[in-house]
Amino acid sequence: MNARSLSIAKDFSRFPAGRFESDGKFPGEVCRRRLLVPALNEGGDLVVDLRGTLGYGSSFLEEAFGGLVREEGFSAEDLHRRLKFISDDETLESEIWSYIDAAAAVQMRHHA
Amino acid sequence: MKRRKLGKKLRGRLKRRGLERAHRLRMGLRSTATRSRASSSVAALNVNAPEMFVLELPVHRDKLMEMLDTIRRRVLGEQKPVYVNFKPTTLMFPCGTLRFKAEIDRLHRITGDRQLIRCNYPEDVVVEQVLQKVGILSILGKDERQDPETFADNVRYWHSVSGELADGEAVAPIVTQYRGVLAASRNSDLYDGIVEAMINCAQHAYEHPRRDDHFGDLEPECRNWWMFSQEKDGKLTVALCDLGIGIPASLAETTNWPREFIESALRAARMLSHRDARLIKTAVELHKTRTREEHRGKGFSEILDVVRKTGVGYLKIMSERGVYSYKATAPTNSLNDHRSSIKGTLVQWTIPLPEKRNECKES
Repeated sequence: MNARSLSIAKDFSRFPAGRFESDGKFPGEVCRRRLLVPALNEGGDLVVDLRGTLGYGSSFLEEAFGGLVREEGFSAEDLHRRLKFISDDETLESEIWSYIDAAAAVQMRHHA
Repeated sequence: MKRRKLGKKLRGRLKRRGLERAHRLRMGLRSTATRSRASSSVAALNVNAPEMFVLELPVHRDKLMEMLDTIRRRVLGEQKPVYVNFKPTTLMFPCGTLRFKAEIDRLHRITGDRQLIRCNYPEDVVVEQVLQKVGILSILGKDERQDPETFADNVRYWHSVSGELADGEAVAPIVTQYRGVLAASRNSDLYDGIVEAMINCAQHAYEHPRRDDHFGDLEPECRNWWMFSQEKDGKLTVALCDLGIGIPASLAETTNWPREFIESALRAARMLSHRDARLIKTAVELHKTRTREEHRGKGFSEILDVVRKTGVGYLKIMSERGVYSYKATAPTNSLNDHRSSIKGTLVQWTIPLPEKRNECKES
């Protein structure tokens, strides 16, 4: 199956900001629900293009990607297998994985 | 407290029934039209603006805050007009100018009456240019008579915006202006830091009305932030201000961290000098501590990262009486409490711009 791809800047906003819907117009929670979850639910790999935005606050990234594990029930293993990133900033990808892995670790602790 | 709660409930009911006018009468607040007539018929109280609009120098800070307290009491408490005399003013810094604009804008939003605060023109031409550039003259009903083409260099690069919630689009004019001047990573660090400061404002600053100096249930109606940027002497200064409850009060109420941890931080700060500054420092450093909701509470880290990650520039977080300063070149912080409170929070980043670009601009 071919990998699906989406661009945060083109398909969501060049100005991502905030965690929850109550924080502003383009928060992580909305990006996750509108963009990431439907695309992941289609199955197969997903390539997320992170280029073209003005930046990404940690609140946005954590809620959008950490929230995939915490709120949407994806496993970190599944996401590691299927999610790929395109970015000019090499630290961004590792930051996102740290949120996904941390959310998974918390889930594990709660279920232990 | 009980009286205020009842007032809030009643106000909600009245609003739902379209009886806001009755509510305003009950609260002793006249309608905009009535107030406008009243404000034009009552003699305005003359208030002298300070010589310097700055929050970092104690004497000038006290004078500025004293003036704002007088204006607020007169406009919100007595609902009578004020006339601001700008003649004595000779210097305007971003922090003091931003704090002044935020107060005037908030009073306009709350009262809906633009006649209540008027002013004259300053004698100093550069001060007039600043007041015009950041929109203060316009909100105080004065004509903008200075030609923007003639603005001094240190005025031309002032940028002013205000809003509610985390609004990345509002940051764009500042950040994109320095694309290609600042490294891409610094540009996005600046964006991230400003946006996180906006989120702090949206989530914590207006959790409840300020306990001091409030007038009925008016306070929570304005939940804005105000932002300035200024380029001067090869440095970019960006400041974001809210008029909320302040970091010390919101820290005392946070539920993100274990209660016992917060209580112990508050006890320690109360026992030492510079209490408010210590509480700001505690808030900045909390991200190192495990949160109750462990994925949250990293905002201040990014506010600090704007200068910390690049090793240049400095950050000041002013909240209530306290000032927390962080210098990237000597990564230590300094703490100081002033006599007067700024009644809100102001975060200010100062970042040196590359010399090459300054030479280009001058040539």
